[in-house]
Amino acid sequence: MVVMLSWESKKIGYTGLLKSALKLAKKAISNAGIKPDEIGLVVHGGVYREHFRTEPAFATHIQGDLDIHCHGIELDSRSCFAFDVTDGSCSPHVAIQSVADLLPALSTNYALLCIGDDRPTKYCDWEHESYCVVAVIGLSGDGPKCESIIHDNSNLTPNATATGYFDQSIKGNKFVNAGTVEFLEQQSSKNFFQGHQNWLSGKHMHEFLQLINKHDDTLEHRIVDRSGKSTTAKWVF
Amino acid sequence: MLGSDNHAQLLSFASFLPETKVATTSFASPDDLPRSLDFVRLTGILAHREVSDGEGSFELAVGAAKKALSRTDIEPRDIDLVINCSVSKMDGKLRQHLSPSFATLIANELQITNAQTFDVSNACAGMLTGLMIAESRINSGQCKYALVVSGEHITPIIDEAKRRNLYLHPRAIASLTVGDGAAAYILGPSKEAGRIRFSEPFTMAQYNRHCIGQACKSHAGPQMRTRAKDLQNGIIDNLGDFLKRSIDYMELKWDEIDHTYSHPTTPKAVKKGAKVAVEMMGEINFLHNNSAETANTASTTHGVQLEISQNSGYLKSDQTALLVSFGSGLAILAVHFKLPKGVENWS
Repeated sequence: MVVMLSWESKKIGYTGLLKSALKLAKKAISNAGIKPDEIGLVVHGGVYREHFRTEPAFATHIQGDLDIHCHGIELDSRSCFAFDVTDGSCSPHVAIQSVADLLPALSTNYALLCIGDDRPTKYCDWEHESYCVVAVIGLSGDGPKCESIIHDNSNLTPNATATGYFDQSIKGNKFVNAGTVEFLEQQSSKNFFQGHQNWLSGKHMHEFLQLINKHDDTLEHRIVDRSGKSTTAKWVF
Repeated sequence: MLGSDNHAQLLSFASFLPETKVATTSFASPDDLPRSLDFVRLTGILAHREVSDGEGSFELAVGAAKKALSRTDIEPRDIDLVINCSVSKMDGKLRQHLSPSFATLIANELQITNAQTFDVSNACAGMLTGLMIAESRINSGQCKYALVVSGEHITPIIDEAKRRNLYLHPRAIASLTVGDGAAAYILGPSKEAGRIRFSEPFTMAQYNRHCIGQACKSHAGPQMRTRAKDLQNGIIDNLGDFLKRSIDYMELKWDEIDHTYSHPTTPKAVKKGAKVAVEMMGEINFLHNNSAETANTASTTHGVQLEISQNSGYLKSDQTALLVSFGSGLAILAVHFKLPKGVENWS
């Protein structure tokens, strides 16, 4: 599928995902040995955005603030495309797969991947640790290769949802998690890693990245979303 | 995407509109607007549809998906990819669905049990972005049948705009141009290459703060703020070169395209865009500019317009259609496809 050429991740505060993403993106692009204008695709994966923003895609802000081919179309200008994907905490794998889907068709060799969430408003109860992860993805090169991503919806609990709403009593926007979930704990073995079921996307990817340097063969990374659905990425080193 | 062993095609499309029709003059008469603006004359929008009690993005999306499925011989269990592209994901009580993906719930409702499900978020360009991903999956052999679906319950932004003093909040005026609606497409494999082709996709991110949709901070529901004129100029200024590049890239001949659809922010805006297209590319065989009674239904607009054209008897098997999409961001991309076989016989 695709190769992760470089990556950066850090814990962030309640907000500040964009600021962190830009900082990490500059480092990751530099570490990959490419220039920002060689990026032709920017994909963000996550669930929660500041003020429950729905448009434009978060990825457009990364592209715009990094100034990657965003100033109009000419007959011979280079292009960059940006969009978001979301599927609970499985969003990182969906984002990687979307990059793998589109990169071969685009006139570019590199994509920028950003994973992370912002606490939507100050009224939201936020028990999560937020992480921002940025990676440069290519079709080939040196780095961990994502060989496959499989999905499993067989354990889906459809009522285990998160929903944004306006709380009239405090005149503010919050979100609520519905359904009762007995969270699966973190699991790890020689070639397998699964994070805690209550982690957000960014933490899943951050913790996975901490393990990369310790492996020289393969590592399966499974993310189980709060809803029970899961994705498993097979990485080859 | 040409050149791989597997190819994709559009098997069906459908739109689903709520029954309630609301006249533009009932909420945007010259008396309601700054400088006695004649909103109908300015936009060409006569009416839009609005959900009834108990309806929201989910119910609309499911309605469109069922209709699209009924127009094929595909069973729900045959679908192995479901991509939802709704911007709003808003229920009838103005609650915004966040997680898991809306596609997961839609698939569950439709008893699509073997599919990967996720959401794509790219504003009004979401459905074309989703189609591009689905086509790629089919071409690469990872997937056989894909459902790309979206339900938009966005008319609460009209109410939000109406609560504002539009003299002081002119960027809320564009919120009056929207309507509720849903669309769905089914893609499947084809032995014939080139039945569906995509342009190079562009995001002109210099415009990424020109249209912002988010939760309203003082009331339930969403709000949208748009620098409409600047955004429209951004499209008009780049449309000619985009079309020229896209037609070359997709290896098409402009005068052989049977049906052309643009993202209808307003019918008047489509006319402006058409003028640019004609100057750059030549006459358009059949421009379908039929959103006067459905308004801008965000990501679903092309599906809604295709359905109106189908119902009017304009579409025939294997004729070709070009959809040009614009979305906040500012995303621009296009898809060209051969219309599904039997499209003229759909009920």
